This record gives sequence, C-alpha cells and structure tokens, in this order.
Amino acid sequence: METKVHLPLAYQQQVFNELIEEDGLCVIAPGLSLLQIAANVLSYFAVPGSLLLLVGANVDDIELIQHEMESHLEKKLITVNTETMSVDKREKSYLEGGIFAITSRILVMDLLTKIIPTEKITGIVLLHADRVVSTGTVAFIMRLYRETNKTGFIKAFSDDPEQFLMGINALSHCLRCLFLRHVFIYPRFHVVVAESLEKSPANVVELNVNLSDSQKTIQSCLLTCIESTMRELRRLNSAYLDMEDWNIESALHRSFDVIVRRQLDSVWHRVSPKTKQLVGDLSTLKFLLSALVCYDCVSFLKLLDTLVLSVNVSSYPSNAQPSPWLMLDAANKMIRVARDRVYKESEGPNMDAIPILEEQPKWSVLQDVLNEVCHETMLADTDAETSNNSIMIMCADERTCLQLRDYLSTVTYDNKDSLKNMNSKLVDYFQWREQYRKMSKSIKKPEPSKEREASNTTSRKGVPPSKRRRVRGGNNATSRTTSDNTDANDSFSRDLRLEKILLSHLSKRYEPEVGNDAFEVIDDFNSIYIYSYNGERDELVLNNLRPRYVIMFDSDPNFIRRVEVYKATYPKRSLRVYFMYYGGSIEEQKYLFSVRREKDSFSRLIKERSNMAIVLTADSERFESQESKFLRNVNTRIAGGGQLSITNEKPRVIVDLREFRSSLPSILHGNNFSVIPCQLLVGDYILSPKICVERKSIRDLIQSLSNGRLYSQCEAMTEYYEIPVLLIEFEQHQSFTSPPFSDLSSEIGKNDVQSKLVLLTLSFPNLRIVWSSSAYVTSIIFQDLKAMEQEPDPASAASIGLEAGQDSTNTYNQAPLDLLMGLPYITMKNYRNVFYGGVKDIQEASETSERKWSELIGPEAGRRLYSFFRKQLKDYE
Amino acid sequence: MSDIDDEEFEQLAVSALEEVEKKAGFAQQPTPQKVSRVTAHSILVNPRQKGNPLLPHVRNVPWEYTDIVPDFVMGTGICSLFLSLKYHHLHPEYIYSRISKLGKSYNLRILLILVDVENHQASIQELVKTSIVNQYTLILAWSSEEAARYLETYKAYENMSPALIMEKPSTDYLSQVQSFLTSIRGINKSDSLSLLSKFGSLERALVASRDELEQLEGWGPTKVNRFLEAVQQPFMSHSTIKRPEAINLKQT
Repeated sequence: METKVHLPLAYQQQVFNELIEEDGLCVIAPGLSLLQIAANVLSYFAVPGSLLLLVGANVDDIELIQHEMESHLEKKLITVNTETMSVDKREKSYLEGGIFAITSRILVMDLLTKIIPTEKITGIVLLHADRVVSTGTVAFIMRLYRETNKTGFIKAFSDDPEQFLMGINALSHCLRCLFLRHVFIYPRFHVVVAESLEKSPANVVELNVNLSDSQKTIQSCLLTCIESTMRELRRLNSAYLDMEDWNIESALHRSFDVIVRRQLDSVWHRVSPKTKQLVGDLSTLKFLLSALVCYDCVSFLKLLDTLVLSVNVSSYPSNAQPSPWLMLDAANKMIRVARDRVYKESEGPNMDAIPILEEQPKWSVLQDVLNEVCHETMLADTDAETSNNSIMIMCADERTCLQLRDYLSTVTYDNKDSLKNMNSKLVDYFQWREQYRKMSKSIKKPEPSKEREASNTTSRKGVPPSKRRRVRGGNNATSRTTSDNTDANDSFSRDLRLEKILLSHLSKRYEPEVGNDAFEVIDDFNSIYIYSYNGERDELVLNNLRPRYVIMFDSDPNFIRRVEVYKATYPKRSLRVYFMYYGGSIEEQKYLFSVRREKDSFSRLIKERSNMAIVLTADSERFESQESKFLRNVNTRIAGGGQLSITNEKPRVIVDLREFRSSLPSILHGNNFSVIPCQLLVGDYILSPKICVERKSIRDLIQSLSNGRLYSQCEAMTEYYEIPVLLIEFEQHQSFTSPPFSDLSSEIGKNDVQSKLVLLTLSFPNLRIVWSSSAYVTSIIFQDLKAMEQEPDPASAASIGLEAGQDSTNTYNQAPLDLLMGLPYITMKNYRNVFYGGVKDIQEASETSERKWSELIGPEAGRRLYSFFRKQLKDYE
Repeated sequence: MSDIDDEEFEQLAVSALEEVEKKAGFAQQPTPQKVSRVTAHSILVNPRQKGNPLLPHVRNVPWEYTDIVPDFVMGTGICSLFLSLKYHHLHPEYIYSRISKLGKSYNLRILLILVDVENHQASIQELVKTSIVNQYTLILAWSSEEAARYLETYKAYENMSPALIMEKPSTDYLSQVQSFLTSIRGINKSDSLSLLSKFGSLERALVASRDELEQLEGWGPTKVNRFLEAVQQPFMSHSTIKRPEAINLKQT
C-alpha cells in the first residue's frame, strides 16, 4: 500500500525526506508548518501492526496533527490520558498498535511497569525537543526506550532555536539525551525555504500608526521605572546575577524576567524579600508596557489601580513595603496621565469632570482600512473560486478581539452612540472601585494600628498619601491608603458624585453623528473575522477562511510566515496583508528585536552544529550520558565486596507517582536501581520495609513547615515505618557551602526555619534527617542505606494509609489537589474524605452543601468552609 | 572560623580517647542521675567544649559546664554531640568513639555538624549513614552562630507544643482567599484580588468562564488555562496505574 504524503512545498518535502532517511533533530523556524511535517512523518511509518508514539505534544498540537491526519492522510491519532483510558484499556490498545499521542508522565509510568511493550515500539516522534533536560522525564523515557529497543526510530522537532544556545553545549547535550546524531536546521533564510516561499509573495501594506501623546508619556515613564528597578536589582544582588549584557533592550525580550528568575533560582530562598519583589515588579512593568498598546484606556487605568491597591490590601507584613517603582515621580506622572485620558477633573471649588475616553490610535486606522477594503470589494468582481471576500483581523489576544468586536459593532450599528461601549466600561470602572473599597476597608478594620504605621512609613519617604491624593485629583485609588475612616467615606462620596457628573456629560456629549454606511456593506457580506494569534492553529484558520484581506492589528513574526506558507501553497488565491504597528514604540522595537534574535540564533546554531559534529562521532559508541557513567563508576566502587555484587537483581526503590516531576527517579534509574512507580500515601520513596523517605527541596521544606503538611507527613511515617527519614535536598546548582536559611537575627524567631526544624525533631525524636547536596548524591546515599536492608514490597507500600474502599490504582492530579490543600480547614488528615466522599473537583466543592461538608470534614470545619465559599464581598459593609 | 584551635581540639580528643580506653573494660556507663538533675534553665556543656567558638554565640539561654557524657545537654532526654568537619577530616575516628561512649541513654540525640570545609560531600554522606545506624538526628550548621542558634532553640523549645508547625496559620478571610488561590501555579496575590473583586465571591469566581477570565486585568491565556485546569480537573482519576501486586519485579 502506498503511504500518502501531503506536503505541497519543496522545503517541506526536503525536511520530510531527510527525517525519513535518518534519525535526527529538526530545528525549524516557527511558522513553517512543523506540525504538518510531523504528522506526515508519523503517518509514513504507520503501517498496520506498528506502534508509534507522539511525545511532548500539548493539547493544541495534538488537535492539529489529528486534523491533518484525518483530512489528508487517512490515519488516526489516539490520545492517551488518564481520564479517558484506564490501565487495562491502554495495555490492550498498545498491543493492537497505532499512533498514540501520550503525555510523558504516563509514558514513563507505562514503560517502567511494562504496560507498553518497549521492544515493539516502531518509533517516537518528539515535539518541543528544546525543553529536554538531562534529568527530566523525556530524557528518562528515551533511556528506558533505548535500553531495550535499539532499532526503533527517534525523530525530534523544535521551533525554538534560542533554547539550544542557552548554556554550554546545550545542543550536543540535548542530542545526547535523545540518542541522536544529526541536526537538520531550517531557518527562514535557508535557500530551499526562501525559494519555496518567495515564488508568489503576498501583497503587504505596512501601516505606521503614531502613539497618542499621552501614550508616549506613559511609555517613557514605564521605561524609567523599568530602568530604576533593574538598577536596584543589580545593586542588591551583584553577587548572584550575571548582568553584563543587561540593558533596556534585553529587558524587553520576552524571557528576560524568566532569565533573571533562573539566575536567582539557586539562591531564591535566601534572596531578600525586596529582591523577590523587584523581580516581580519587572514582570509587572513589562506587562504594563504591552498593556499600554493593547488595553483600552479605562482597562489600563483599572489595571494600574489594581496594582496600587494590591500593595495596600496585602495583609502579609513582609509585603507591607510598596514596590519601589510606585514611589518614583515617573509612576505618579504615569498614573495621572492614565487617568487624564479617561476623564479630566477641573480644578476649583465646584467639582466637575469631563469624560475624555481617549481611543486607541489604531482603531481609527482600522476603520480607514476597512473603508478602503470595502470600496475595493464593491468594485472588483468576486471570484469565489480563489479567495472569498472575507476580511481577517488578527490581534494579540482574546481581550483585543473582544475590544475590536465591540468597537466595530458600535460604529456599525448604532452611530448615535458610537462609544457606548466605552461609557459602560467607565460605569463598570466606578462600580469596581466601590467593590474594591469595601474589600480594602474590611482589611483595615482588624489592624488599624499597623495601617497607621504603614502610612507613616510612606510619609517618611516623602510621598505623603494626602499629597498624592491632591496631585491626582481627589478621588483616586490611593486615597484608601489612609486608615482614617472619615477620609475614606469622604473619598467614597466624591467618587459617587464624580460618577454622576461624568455620566451626565456622557449622555450629552454623544449627540447624533454622521452615519458611516460603508460598514453596512460589510455586514451584508457578513465577513469580518476577528481572531487572536494562536500558534499553529492559525494555519488552519487561514486555510478554512481563505481571506482576501488580512489585517494584522498586532505584530507577530510567526504569523507572517504562516501567511507566506499559505500564499505559497495556494499561489492563485489573491491576498493582501495590512500590517499595523506603532512607529517608534516599544511594540515595534520588540518586534524587530525578536526577528533579529531569531536570525542570530539560527546562525549561531548552524555554527554550533559544524563544531559539534566531530565530538559526537567520537562519542557515538557509548550511548550513555555523562552523568550515568559517572554514577556507574561510583556504583561499582560501592558495590565492590558489598551485597550488590552478590545478588543479580537490581536494588529496588518504590517511588511515589508525584515524585516523577523531580529528577531523582530518573537518576536512581540511571544509577542501576529498579524504579517502581506506585501511588503512595505515606512517604515519597520506600527503600526497604523499614525505611520510608519524605523528600523536600529547600523551598518545599520552608513551605510545608509553615502549613502543617510536613508535621502530618512525619506523623504518618512514624506510625507505619520503623525508620522515617526526612530528606532535605538542595538543587544541584545550589551552593551547599553556604547556609540554606535566612540570616540569624538576635533572638530566636518563631518563624525561622531553624526553629521549626528544631520543633519538628523534638516532636519526632525517631525522625532521621538526611542532608543531600543534589539528587546525584541522594542516589548514592540511598545505595548506602539500602545496603543492609531487605527489598521493599510495592503492594504493601501502596496499601499503607489506605482506608476501606480506597484504591491504590487511582492517581491524583496535582494542580487541583494543591488547590484543595490550599483551602482553609482542609488538612492532611481530611483531604481524602473530600474526593472519596464524592466531591469530584473544586467547582463541585464550591457548590457542596453545608450538610455534606460537615459529614466530610466535621461540623465546625464544614460550616466554616461552606461559608468561606459563599462569602460575598458586599457582606463587608 | 579561621582561628579554630586545632591543637586544643586535638588534645581534647586525645584525652577523650584515653578516657574511652580506660573505661573499655567496663560496661558502658550512662549517667542518668546527672541528667535527671539538669538545671532547669540552662544548657549543660561538657568541659571538653571549652574554647569551642560557638559558645560565645549562645546568648539567649544560659549555659554552664557540667560533667556529662555528651557535649551538650539541652533538656531532659535531649543531648547533642558536636563535630566540626575540619576536625573530622583530621581525626575521622573521633566521632565514632564519642558515639559508642554515649550509647542510647538519651531520647533525642542530635549530631550537630559544623560544615566548615569546602570538600564535604564524602564526609557528610558517611555521617548521614552513621546517624541513621546509630539513631542520631543529624543537624547541619554552616557557621558557629547557626550551630549556637540550634542549641539555644532546643533549650528554649524543649517543652513547647508543636502547634506552630501543625496546622495552617488561621487568618482573616482575605488572606485565606489569597493563600487558597495562590496555590495555583502562576497566580499571584494581586491576581487573586482582581479575581475576587470582579466576581464578588469565591463561589462565583470558581465557575467563571474562559471569556470572563480573559477579561480580567492582568490575566493572560496561560494564567487562565492554569486556573481552569486547577478548578475543573478532578482531584483523582480512577484506575490509571497498574495494581502494585501485578508489577513484574523480575528484571528483564
């Protein structure tokens, strides 16, 4: 039977052929139909009886590959997840064969418990190969796979070249994890790609839009704030941060805050709260920059207000200090300008305010473009064969979509009230502030003294709340910083009055305007489509819509490529692209920066590949990673003369399912342990019938000591095991030579980690503590500990802690479980009652009756939890 | 730590070893009387610890020299041996003689280790094993101050109830809401506030639709996805892993 291939463009076929011939990693520029190629590769090998796995795909990827296979390739993709497929069903389907999309967490479990016949796997296709780390799940999967299956193929894909340049030898490291030798690199400037795409280019019109004056002011204020935050961060952490190439431009790059966070990660538990705040501020400020061009003026003001308010509302003492950027003159100016473009309050004894409601500059340009397009379509004859007359507007996110939809519909249908939408937004805004005021007032009540103190600190910094209030016009958000009740009431009534005044203005202002009938024509065609960028999915939308006009309301380099691919695939369809951007804005800079960066990354990657080739051929004999070799050496040393050399069987460790998110199980396996996954209720690792280990990273330790979780866990371990062990594990890159906990104050503090640890050991004198500098060291320690013990039994380990009617083959989902544990009155002791008692998820929990709750967790806690869900903010009055 | 007096330590250790040898013929003799007469408010210090740089840092509780077997006694049934890794590297056998001498006469035996060398991995590994075999609770300190703080805390908290580490701190409604919602990855305090203020109650916020959530200031698609996943996914999926009895334990 001839296998179908559906790849219209020359470069796609070339990538396909290369991958079919040899195993390898394919790094391709985003937007160049990666998923389509992956789908074709999978289908090519899908002869009856074969077993193919798609790993690393997210929900969207799966859906699109599925679509591609079903519509063009006559193949079926089976999705495996825990909700739809029980273990028996999975076992059966694997034997039958087919193409399976499977999450790495399930796959690693199935490989370890041998549900999947490893030797029968025809091959694995891996998406997002850039995310592979040597101790991660995917690398673990590949190792398990190659251990027993040397002939199956591995084809990996990635569209993020930058990731392979982070760190030393990241590319060769990744290849080694995947047991691959070849890299195929396809940037946009690759000859074949360029030739394929430039045969019949689309007609592109660039529209340079100017920012409004107030937007420009806000933008420059934001940049000042970012710069000052960066300076402060540098000053506080010069020891940890490598900031040689820090400048305002790199700060605009999408992953800048992630990079800072990563650099600080190893010392995160020790950096001052101030630093943490600054890192958070950087993200916030970056977000504000993009919100400035995306949000309408009322929403932007609301966002600013939320930020100002959340500083005051926060009830944690450590956060009592407002973010430093809020103290800058630039921030004050920004808030004032942001308010002024919503409404302007006139100075003077008589309170008066005029609504301004500034429009986003792109809106009117969009209107012009639509006018132009409509005229054109009326004149030109429609040729339904090639393209229909639909207009596609692409914007950054759903919020902008909605904003445009509102905007266009109000201009079209109801010209008399063209900004009705904005008006209602303004009304919403005032209502929201009322709500917020109640909330903040309720917080103020319990601790009035503290509040006063806080406002004192602010005044010492030279920005007294009262002054700020006057500057910004009497009724702004910060007026609530004062604890003074009369003051708050005063500003509250001012708010109400202001709202009334503004509303009366609004009704007066928008008298009938000139009609704009151009839009009615479009309405007849019923053909404006507004979408937000949605990765690979956009390809599908383009193919389905066949638009004649595409308006890119926000910029996105990847979408441009998708349009190019679309146009090259259907050269006969006419297409014009309008590309709108704010000239001289951060938006434009960011766009240019990302294009340049991608190009650089590809060039560097190509260079890296040429340097790397020799190393890999020399290394190809040994398929093991450095780490596992290192570990094996250590292993033989310890085993020499010990018990390990006597028994043939590998030492056994039972590992809780949830632990598979960490790197330890993978390292244990590499270190010649037999890793058995089980759902454990007590402990994380069971080394022997006596030894039970609870693993905590430093961050977990601090957290679980303060929310009571660790105490309950130790309690359970002590009840069932002779030697309960608390393993305190440092991150591998985390320094072990410096103290892990915060500095010592002059007195014994109740909240110090050390104090809590002392209290824990006092409560559990039998608890043993293991300190380990990394997961690698842990695995060696485990070997030591197991040396004189018997092997553990999975069945009994899994049954420990189970009550009647509970089942050890069920698995917990981490995100909802964490949320459940976050609820007040839910403890380690009663949380299982909740879902075994029939409450399925959090949404159901919020609707559960009071009676049911008291059955589940006791009358008192039940009553309180019930009212916790029900509490209305308006009850606060 | 640079001025640690190795010679003094060495002398102490030598005398300790001699002592051990002297008593080798006798059965191990714990000194229960001494322990039961622990002065209520102070840490008892073995005179051999004279000159230990951590002592000046014990400021929050009183201490006194007494003739005891362990290095420190912090309360009824609570004692500690002290070991500096620097010293351990010179005299690896020292700690074992101390451990065997102390026996099992205290309920909670702390092995307090001062990590004062760079190359510590092998020794810590070894001491971890030792502490488990001999039933010691291992505590690592990275400075004399920190070591002293541990001793002080043991004394001060000797009779304290563990309530502090037993449950969630009880707080007001809004902090409860914040700590509830921030247990979702990627949701911070101000996100939780904007969520609550928009919907007015948790009951309403938890059933909010994707569209409503994307309208929230500061909530992008990633955040919305994480939120929806956490509130909509079931806590538990049924029969998703192999029954532990059915796992084939034989190696392939």
